[in-house]
Amino acid sequence: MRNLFLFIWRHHFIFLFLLMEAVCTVLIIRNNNYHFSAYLNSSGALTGSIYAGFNAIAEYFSLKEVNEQLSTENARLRAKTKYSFSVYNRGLFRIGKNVYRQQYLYLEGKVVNNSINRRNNYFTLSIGSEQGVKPGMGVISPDGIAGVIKDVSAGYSTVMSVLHKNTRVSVKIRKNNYFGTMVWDGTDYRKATLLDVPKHVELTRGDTVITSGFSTLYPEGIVAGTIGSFTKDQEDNFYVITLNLSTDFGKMDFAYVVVNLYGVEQQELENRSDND
Amino acid sequence: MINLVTRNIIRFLVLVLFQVLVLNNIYLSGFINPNLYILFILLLPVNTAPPTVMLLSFFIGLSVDIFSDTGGMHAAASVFLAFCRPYILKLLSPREGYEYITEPAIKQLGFTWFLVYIFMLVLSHHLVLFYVEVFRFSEFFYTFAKVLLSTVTTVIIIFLVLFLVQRKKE
Repeated sequence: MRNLFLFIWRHHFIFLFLLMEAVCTVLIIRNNNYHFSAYLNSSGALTGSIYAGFNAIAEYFSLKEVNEQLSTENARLRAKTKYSFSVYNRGLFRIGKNVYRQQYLYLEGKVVNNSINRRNNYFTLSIGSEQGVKPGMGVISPDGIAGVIKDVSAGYSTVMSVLHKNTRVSVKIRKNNYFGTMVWDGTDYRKATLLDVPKHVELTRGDTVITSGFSTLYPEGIVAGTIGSFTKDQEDNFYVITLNLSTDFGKMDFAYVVVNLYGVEQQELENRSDND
Repeated sequence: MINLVTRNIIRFLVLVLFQVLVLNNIYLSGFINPNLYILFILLLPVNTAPPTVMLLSFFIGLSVDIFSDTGGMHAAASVFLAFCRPYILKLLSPREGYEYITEPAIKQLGFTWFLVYIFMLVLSHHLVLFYVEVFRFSEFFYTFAKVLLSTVTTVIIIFLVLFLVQRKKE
């Protein structure tokens, strides 16, 4: 026993090194674990308020672009309101509570911190559990999909960006409804990869890719990107498609958290059939 | 002259804030992100006990991690840097030893010594940082290119900062 202590004491530097690396490994694993709420991150009170303070200064530089982005979005939304449609056949259509139910609500948040240059990227939003944000909700930007809520504090939430190793978004090609999976290979923040689209499907460059609505994260029809280039894989029956992402992660100022009012119900039902 | 401890505390705070508020928003050609904060570890006095250096490295790495949501990746890389530091100092030790020197400075130890010292330690830090971040070998060479380019960028920025700051002291 005494020899053991002597041995440890003689090499205490190496043992300290190993101990500290072990601590770091635990921290990294905790952080990567999706449902493990890590408290050492940028949604904390101190770090969140430092970022918010710095952002209050920095946001003036992009005011013009934000205004343009918001007014384009307003125009697009105005075109979708009831007043933009004229009734042309009163006998057949009836718009009312019985026909439509509200499934999605959106919470608007300001992006106070963002990264695009790492292998796994995150950004921070200035809304949190007080506004009703919960881990696992989808996040979209005015231009397209953006990520998934990873962790929330009272006033802030961290979002796992689409630019992440674990990203798997269920998407489909708008013109023919074939669906695939979108992943990010870590090279370029403007591009993603679309997998699992069968080889016999006809594709053209510039085809729009939208969310499929299969998962409870995003409503159907949110734009993910456009097809940039595609090759046929020699080994299997699927295309390898490069997507140009519609969201410019390099200059994201606002994002919307998607609240799916029937998400829990859908998940519970699906889990029940998985268990059988 | 401010005393050694106060100076290092100020350096710690300034470097962490500069790293997370300014440098983490800089992407040279899309993926090179300079990590200036390790200058704090590099400039600790030569005769500081290695375990102390390691603890300080852990804390500065962890501070950067908390701000950039990276778990413990910066801490792991910084601890590895602190592990390498005594061996590299021994390897590079001048004939008369380091006795009369407190903090490493270009003026006392010469430009070549300083370049080798900083390059080797920054490389050790970036190797751990980028490979832990990617954590798969399918992107081995792409990651390696990233490590080398980021190392060169960080070294250049460290020298720019040192030329600006160390000249003013005279």
